[in-house]
Amino acid sequence: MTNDYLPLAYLNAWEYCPRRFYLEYVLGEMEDNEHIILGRHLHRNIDEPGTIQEGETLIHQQQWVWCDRLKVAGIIDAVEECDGQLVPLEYKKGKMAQHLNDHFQLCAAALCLEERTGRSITYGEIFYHANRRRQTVEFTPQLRQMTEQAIALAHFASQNPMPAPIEHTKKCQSCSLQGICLPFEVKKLQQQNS
Amino acid sequence: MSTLYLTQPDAVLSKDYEAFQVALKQEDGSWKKQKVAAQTVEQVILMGNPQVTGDAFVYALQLGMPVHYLSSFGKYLGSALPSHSRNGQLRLAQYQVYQDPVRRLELVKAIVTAKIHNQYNVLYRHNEKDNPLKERKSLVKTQQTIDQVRGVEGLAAREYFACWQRMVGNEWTFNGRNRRPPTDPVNSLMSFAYALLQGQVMAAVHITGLDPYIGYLHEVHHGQPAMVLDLMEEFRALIADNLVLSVLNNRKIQPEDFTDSLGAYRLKENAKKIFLQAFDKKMNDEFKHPVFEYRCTYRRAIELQARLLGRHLQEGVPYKPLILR
Repeated sequence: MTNDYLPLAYLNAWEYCPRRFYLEYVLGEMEDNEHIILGRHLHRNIDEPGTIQEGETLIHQQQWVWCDRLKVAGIIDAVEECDGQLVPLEYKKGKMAQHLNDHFQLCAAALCLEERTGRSITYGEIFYHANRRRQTVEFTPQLRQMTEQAIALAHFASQNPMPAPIEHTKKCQSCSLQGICLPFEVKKLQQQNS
Repeated sequence: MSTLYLTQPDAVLSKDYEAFQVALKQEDGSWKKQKVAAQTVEQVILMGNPQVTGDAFVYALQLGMPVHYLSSFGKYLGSALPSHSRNGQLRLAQYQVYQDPVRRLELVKAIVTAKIHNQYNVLYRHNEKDNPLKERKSLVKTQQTIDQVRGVEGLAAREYFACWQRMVGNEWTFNGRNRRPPTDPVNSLMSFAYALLQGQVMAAVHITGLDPYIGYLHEVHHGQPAMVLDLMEEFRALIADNLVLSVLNNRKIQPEDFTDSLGAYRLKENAKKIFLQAFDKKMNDEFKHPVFEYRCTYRRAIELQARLLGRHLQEGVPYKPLILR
């Protein structure tokens, strides 16, 4: 596999904020905050690769997936197999809501699995740890199209100059890269100059 | 957050679960052991090569803590720095500005202007209002080359230090800045303060991902960390000079706190401790940031300026050195 395959986790970052994506993926910056540490802690329970049988269901944990057509690759937390149906599964520390970034990451994993196995995958699931709910994510034609578009845009952006900070105070406040990206400071300095 | 200083050559720093243990040898030969929770420590500064166990050393790096080495004289020797930025493109941008005479001159002017401005404020607050530093500051604007800017900088520095004898008082003798070795106590204290500052700026430059050895105001030669020296300029007066003046004026350090060996002066052990504490307190002092208007410590300000310089180099965001009223 060549290293211009976009890691699935960065696709999540892309949907969150293009500048964060650029800092992480293109520039190699990283920084922890409480959200990252919590997420990592949650994954401690499930980061052993391997396959386990639970009743009728076969669970492949920490599964490598990749797609040559879209040039993405990554590790999905689990793939459940039941009645010949594959269901990708992601664990997230937050609360259940319509997190498009999580949906993109999951859908991209499904696109990978479809390319590798030739089977069609109709839905995946996200386990939100904060309220212990599983969300079913249907891989509708619309979501598939948006995911593929996000992948293409992310690939394109990685070849271009760094995107400007976004206008989203809440996202910036909970972003671990805030002290590196300096969204508030950069905007202020640019305003003063114009 | 605090800094862990080890100043005794026979001290031993080790790791004990999630704490650092400092063992200090007592006069009767026994060991006095103290523990410090590692999570409360931001960096380790070692003077006069005390022992550090491999465990403690690796733990510091794992927690993202730089470990700085200073000689027993307080000369900056080097640092072990946690891995942080892997931003290769920032270095490329840094080299590009080095090759670009227009952008480089502009940055050098900003740095020197801020340096003179902050020097002027030190003098102003010590009632040394009759000095030409304001004119020197505006003279920087009209210079055409980096060498010319350096000329103005040197002129301003001489005029600035010429006021120091009156500011430090009759107890001390100060005939201008000298170093290698410092031939009077005030210069020796100043060198010590600059070395401590250099460690802080070096760590900031490193975590930002800048190349410490490529600078704009300072030439690339003799292996000097030119970028670190560039970034230090705006902080010399603000942090180091103000600190030296305040410990002298408040008599926290006295003439008998120095030993003289063949004309080279150094601080005695106890006074060294007092000065290190004062430096650490200064680094944690808060001020209102003149541009962003939030509360900010000098410690954060140093990292912030390094990162903002990075944003300037990479994105063309205007660089504003820190100047305080």
